[in-house]
Amino acid sequence: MAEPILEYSNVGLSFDDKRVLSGVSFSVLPGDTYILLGAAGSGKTLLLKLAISLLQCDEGSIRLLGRDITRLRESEMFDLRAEVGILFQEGGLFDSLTIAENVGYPLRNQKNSNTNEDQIEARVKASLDFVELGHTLDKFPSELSGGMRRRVGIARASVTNPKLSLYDSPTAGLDPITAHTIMSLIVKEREIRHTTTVLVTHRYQDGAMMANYRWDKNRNTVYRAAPWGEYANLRTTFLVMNEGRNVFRGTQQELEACRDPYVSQFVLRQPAPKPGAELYQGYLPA
Amino acid sequence: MLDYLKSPVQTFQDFLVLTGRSVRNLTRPPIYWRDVLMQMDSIGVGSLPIVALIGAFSGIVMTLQMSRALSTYGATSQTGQVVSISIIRELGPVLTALLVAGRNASGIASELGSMKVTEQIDAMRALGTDPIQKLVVPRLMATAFMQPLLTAIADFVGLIGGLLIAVSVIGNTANQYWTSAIDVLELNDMVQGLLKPFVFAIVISLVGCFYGMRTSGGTQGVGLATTKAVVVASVWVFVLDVLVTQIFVSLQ
Ligand SMILES: Nc1ncnc2c1ncn2[C@@H]1O[C@H](COP(=O)(O)OP(=O)(O)O)[C@@H](O)[C@H]1O
Ligand SMILES: [Mg+2]
Repeated sequence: MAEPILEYSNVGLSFDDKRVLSGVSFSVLPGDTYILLGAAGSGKTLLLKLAISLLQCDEGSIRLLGRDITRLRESEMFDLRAEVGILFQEGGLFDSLTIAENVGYPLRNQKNSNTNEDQIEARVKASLDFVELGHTLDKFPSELSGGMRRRVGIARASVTNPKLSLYDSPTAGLDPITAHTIMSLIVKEREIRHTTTVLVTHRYQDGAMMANYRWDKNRNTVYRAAPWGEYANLRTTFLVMNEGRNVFRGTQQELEACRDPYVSQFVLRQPAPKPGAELYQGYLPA
Repeated sequence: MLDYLKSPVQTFQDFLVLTGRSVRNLTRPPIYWRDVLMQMDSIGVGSLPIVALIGAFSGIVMTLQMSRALSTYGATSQTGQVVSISIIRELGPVLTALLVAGRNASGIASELGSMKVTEQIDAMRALGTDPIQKLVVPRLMATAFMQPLLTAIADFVGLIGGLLIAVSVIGNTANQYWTSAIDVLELNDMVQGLLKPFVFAIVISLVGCFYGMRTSGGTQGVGLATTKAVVVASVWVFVLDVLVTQIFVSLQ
């Protein structure tokens, strides 16, 4: 069995006297997709930040890419972080830098990326083209819409070809159409670069999309990898967090079958498709 | 009672940790010189007009206030002396520091605070830069370099303000004023007058960075951090002023 890319063992964390995470354990294998669902304040963002040691846990241990990072010093973390792409909930784009500088930032500042200026420019351009924002190079983040900023965040998180991609609420606060665009990009990213993905969200559709949709390179769109009513389960695991505890872990079927009152609130049952809707919805029979 | 003390003590300890890390990083590459220059521009050049203005007015007001007392004792010929000692030792450094605290400690705290709440500081760490190196060190260096200069300018403008009153109200000649103002100054005064702003600068910039970097609670938190930074930095200016003055007094 392959070694996990990311592994939480019995992780706990408190702020002052408030316990915000306790007994969280799961491990992410190469190629896996994990969906973290949970109410606001249930500890999803903290779990992502713990993964690259932006904070340290008080209990348990965390392994990233085969190394125990629980007590690793900040200076030792920098090399490991270069293998991880992260999209922050609040964006985390640098206001004072242009879009191109933002996306190039990890290439210029991470120690083990010994790329020269020409290569950096090419990769920044490619990464922005990937999210269809190649024309915004010299703009500043404040000049873009919320959805565009998220896409820049995705470009910045993927420009280094990370082994692991962490997305914190990529669709929060977006309209359904923009949210769909963002999720399509994340599916595309997973498909094309084969990254292992951990996605935090409170929208069930986002998880369902990761579990069932793939990217069609020729048509440049997502398609459902299983007929309606069936599950493609593209190595996707759902976790549900409640007040710092992991209260559910399983596949999409298991989640939909779960009768726990808290967990079942996150499930949005899809309406049965109308006859002929498969084609319209982009389902390609294998 | 112990609980009541716990939080300020903890905060002070955190502040010392930040100070320690910043000082250690001063000697460590990379130093982001571009950021240092940008900060020098915003802290130094940006504060120049207001510092000069306040310097001039404090010179003018103080000389006016002194004029009656001096003429009561028939000591109007010593106007320059009184003005220069109080400005160089005390008013120049402290007023400049209060202005810089109001203008730059708040600016630093709100800038870093917004970066904190929009996760830009986390992003820096995630993308390979140390926020202490990239944000704190340039602000510390720039303030420590610019504040003595600003103070020197405030002193000079203050002396000119004093001159205006000495000549027009008190009836000194310009020559009399300058001779009396310059002759009285000793090395001790000059050292004191430049050491104070240097010490204040370190505390003001670090306090601004400290409250900025520990901001939490969204935009509201940024406002709180900014207010705290100004208040705490200003109080520190007075506390340190007493300490440094005491050291110089006991040296004499
Ligand atoms: N720096 C902090 N200090 C104190 N409490 C915090 C801090 N960061 C997060 N928390 C608390 O931890 C809990 C989990 O936060 P978070 O992971 O951001 O939730 P979410 O699931 O919405 O992403 C929340 O109750 C939050 O108030
Ligand atoms: Mg969150």
